[in-house]
Amino acid sequence: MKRKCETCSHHNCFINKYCSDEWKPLITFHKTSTDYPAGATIFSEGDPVKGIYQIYSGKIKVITSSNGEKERIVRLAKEEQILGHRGLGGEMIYPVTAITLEESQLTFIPIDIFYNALKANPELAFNMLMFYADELKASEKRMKMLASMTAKEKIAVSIMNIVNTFGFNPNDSNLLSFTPTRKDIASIAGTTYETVIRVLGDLEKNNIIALEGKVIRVKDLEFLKTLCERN
Amino acid sequence: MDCRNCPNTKCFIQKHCLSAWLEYTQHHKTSKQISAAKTIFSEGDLVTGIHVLCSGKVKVLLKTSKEKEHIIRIAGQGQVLGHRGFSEKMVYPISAETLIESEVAFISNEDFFKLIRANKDLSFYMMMFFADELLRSEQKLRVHALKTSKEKVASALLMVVSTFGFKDEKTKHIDLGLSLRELANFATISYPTLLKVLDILLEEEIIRNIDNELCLLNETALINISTKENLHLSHKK
Repeated sequence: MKRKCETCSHHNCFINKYCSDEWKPLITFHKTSTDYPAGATIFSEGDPVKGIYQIYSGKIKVITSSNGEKERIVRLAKEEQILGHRGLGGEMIYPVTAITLEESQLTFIPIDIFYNALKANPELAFNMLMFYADELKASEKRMKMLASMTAKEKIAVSIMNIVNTFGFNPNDSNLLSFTPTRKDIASIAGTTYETVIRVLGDLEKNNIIALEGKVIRVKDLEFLKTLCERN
Repeated sequence: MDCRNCPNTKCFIQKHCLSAWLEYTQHHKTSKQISAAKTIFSEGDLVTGIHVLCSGKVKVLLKTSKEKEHIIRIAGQGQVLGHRGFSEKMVYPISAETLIESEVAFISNEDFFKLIRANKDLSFYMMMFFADELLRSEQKLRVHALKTSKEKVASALLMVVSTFGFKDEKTKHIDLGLSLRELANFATISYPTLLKVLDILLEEEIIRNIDNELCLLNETALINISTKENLHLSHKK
């Protein structure tokens, strides 16, 4: 059972949005789809890059874990987004590992097909380029953040990152639609589990957020934004 | 320099654009001759276009605190400048300063986007360029803390060689462009440490000092020193 790019309803998918109608059947022909359970590894640091992934459904964390260093989440991704772009360039070896946060379906496009698509579809190349530009900026911002922010600011930035990626619950406008585990939040913020617990408690006390079990409710989005912009 | 007949074969615009578009670029770009140690653009400036370094040498600086500046990139002739400003906000997160007298061409956002859309080789090149920059930027951060000073100096020197090349291919005189203090900054070590490491590299006959200029004697050895850590990372399981 293969989904067709020609008739796909994911209009924010780069392939769907920026490839010509003539190209979509070709991508459909070459792509493969795989279902992953939660917690599965899609690719690992050090693996050779053979293509690019498109997330059809689900949520993914992209992590680095250099020798002895703690796991660090460098990106959160969800359906309609591209995955594995960090592997392009250089020696074509993944510098990161991608793990599913929940059950996910992924589409894989072989690298030569993707390259051909880029060359044949200028809008795709242009938007990929701008996507990389944003990623580069976000990445360097994160480095700066890790070096100079307080724990509270780091966690505010991390919550905003989760909000910007996964959004709020459609039926409850200030409840996060997906809350990563506290340990994952620590990896996003580049801090420890204990610090996350403490800072979340503080934020709750000050009525900025509310903790409903595992899930976080944002009560004062503006305050979180100000915390983020202080640097 | 004239895009229609540019002697700089390293320029990415010249390499990846159709001739009709090179003519267009020649008419629409503005060029400036900038003397050494001048600012081309500053952190916080609005990005209104892209700069191409036609000739000369430039350092790209990131402010890490109020008084500290870190050289995160060096650029040589034919390279793009200010690509870090591209993104929805269009504000430079870094500053660029000339190391020596340089010719800098400026292409407005509007024209550059036209170029990218019309020249598929250019858009592909730019995408891969950004991919490399992202990889390099993140690798630098991660590997950084684990690297010894010697590894840092080796990587920095190799970066200089790949960007600026040699003054003389035969004698392998490195076209350093940076002062030793700037080289220390670029390698993220202190100046005294740099001098110490350079002494070790001299002793091991990997580099040589002729009239206060560095020559590269053993590039393979330098590469081995610098990639020890990277290899370790990429093959680690």
